Amino acid sequence: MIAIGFGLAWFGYSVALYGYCLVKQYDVSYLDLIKPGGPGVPWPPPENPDAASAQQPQPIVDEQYLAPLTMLAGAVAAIATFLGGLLTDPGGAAGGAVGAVEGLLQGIPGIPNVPAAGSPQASATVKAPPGATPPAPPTPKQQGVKQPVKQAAGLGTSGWTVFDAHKANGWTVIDGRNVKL
Amino acid sequence: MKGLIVAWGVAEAIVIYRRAKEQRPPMPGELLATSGAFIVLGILAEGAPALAATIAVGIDVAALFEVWPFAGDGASTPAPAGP
Repeated sequence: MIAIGFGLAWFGYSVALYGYCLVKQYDVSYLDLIKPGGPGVPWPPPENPDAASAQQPQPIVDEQYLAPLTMLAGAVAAIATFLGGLLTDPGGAAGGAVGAVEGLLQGIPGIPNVPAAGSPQASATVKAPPGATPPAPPTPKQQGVKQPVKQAAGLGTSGWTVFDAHKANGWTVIDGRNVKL
Repeated sequence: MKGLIVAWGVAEAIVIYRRAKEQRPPMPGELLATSGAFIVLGILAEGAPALAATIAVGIDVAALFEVWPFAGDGASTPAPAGP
């Protein structure tokens, strides 16, 4: 383990020293630095004669193409990430992609705010169009709840289902179960 | 084996100290050459650890007194003088 640790430290030091020589534009190769024995490398090493007369390096990409190429690289990276996620977790990747598309669509005016399938909002009542009056809440009689329960003789059920119900602390208790109405 | 490792550390420290006194970094090749001798002694330590440790300490003493310079000590060539 000690030998491995020394080897790693030595390798890191040699690479760091070589990088320093590159930054300083010394005319020395990595093999010259690590060559054991021999005359070795004088310090400081001679500078690279080509570096002094080197002209301004040409950019790899023209400035006018930089922005579109950056966007393209970002799109490729996003697609690669999605495909990678699809291979490892197909459900999560697909759900994430659908969520991202829905997020984009919701930002566009004119598209109705339709909640995603399976979300709590999807199972709730549909939002009423603007201007329409909301329906009146069902009366207790329509709900089939008698409150207070006053079953007197002669009152027929006439097709209603009668529950043993009463109100308590804002809750309507039906057959022993608290139901928020 | 512990004595060998300590002697190895001392040898590396001697090389680094000498290079730092000359205001130059120790070359990786010098450190490797110094370690080469101790790697051989490590193989010898498998059979005779006391002998290997003794030889390693002897190498350190010789290097300290510059009786037997390490391989690569000839690398301390001064930079060529400018025009």
